[in-house]
Amino acid sequence: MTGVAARRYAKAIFSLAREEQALEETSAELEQLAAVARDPDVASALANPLLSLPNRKALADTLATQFRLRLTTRNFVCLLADHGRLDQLVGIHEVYQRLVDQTLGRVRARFTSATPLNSVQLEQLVSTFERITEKKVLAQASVDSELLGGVVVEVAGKVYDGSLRTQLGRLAGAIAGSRSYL
Amino acid sequence: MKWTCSVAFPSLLPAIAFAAEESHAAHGHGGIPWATLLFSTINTLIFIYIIKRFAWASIRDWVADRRRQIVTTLEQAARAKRDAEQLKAEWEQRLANLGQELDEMRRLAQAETERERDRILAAAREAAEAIRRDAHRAAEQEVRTAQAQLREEVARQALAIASDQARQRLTAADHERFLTEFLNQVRP
Repeated sequence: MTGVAARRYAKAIFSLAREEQALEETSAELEQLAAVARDPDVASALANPLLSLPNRKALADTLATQFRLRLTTRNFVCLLADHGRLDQLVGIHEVYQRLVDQTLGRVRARFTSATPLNSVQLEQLVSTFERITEKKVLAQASVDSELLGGVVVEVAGKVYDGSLRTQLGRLAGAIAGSRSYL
Repeated sequence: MKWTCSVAFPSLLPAIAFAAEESHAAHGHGGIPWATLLFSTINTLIFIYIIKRFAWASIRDWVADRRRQIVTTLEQAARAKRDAEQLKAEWEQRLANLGQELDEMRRLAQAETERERDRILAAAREAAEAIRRDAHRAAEQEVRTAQAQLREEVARQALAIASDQARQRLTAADHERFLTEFLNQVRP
């Protein structure tokens, strides 16, 4: 759940990136920053109100240098450091990603299967959900052996559950007299 | 006049006797002392006149009042007697009805006792029925709970067995089939 501040900053950086026609580059940079911010130790440090302004600026400068950020993104990170909003990086990236996807007419889909999907299967899934969503699908595949079989697709806020675990759970629920046993 | 004579004659008798005795003593023989007799008679007549002139009205009024008092007293006595007799009759009637009233009171008390007994019995029956219903309901709930637990346990074991079997026996073809079925289900 992203906060109001994250949405506000995300819209700001999105506007700048669109003016510069650098939506994808900025997205990649924010992805790198968000990956760092997801680290629990880094997250607690960023959320620490005792972190002084010079330290926050030094941290932002280090990140910008480390990831060789473009000037706009570098300034944006420094702005976040000035305002003590570095802990919002993950939320900002998520909102920004949605804004970019909406703008470019694409949607992100997570395909989780019990066994690794081959390229043909992944292509079948992508083409099918591109027809369902009528948008370009950016696939992210993962494996979860607990599914036993089948696949679970999360796309555009919906979940399409075709896993064997869920089917067996429904069957067990029918035996137990409840809606679903899982 | 009759009254005067009746009073005067007895009054004259001593005077006559006295005069006779006095004349006998004076003359030494039995002649009538007319003068004394006349004098006594006149005295008596004067006495009678005085009495009638001055005291007769009072005596007569006193006698009348006395008579009225006696009559009134007698009437009050008669009235009191009648009241007493009436009261006696009423109490005798009440005494005669007392048994009936007692029977009525006893009958009412018995009827009330029977109603109270019936009410208590009805309340007891209702309470017993409620207890029986609650016990039956609790027993049914216990049975349902036990059945649900049993079904849940069966489902849990069935799920565990099916999951183990799936992990051991599913092949790549099976996974391919699952994916195909899924695509067929979601395909627009």
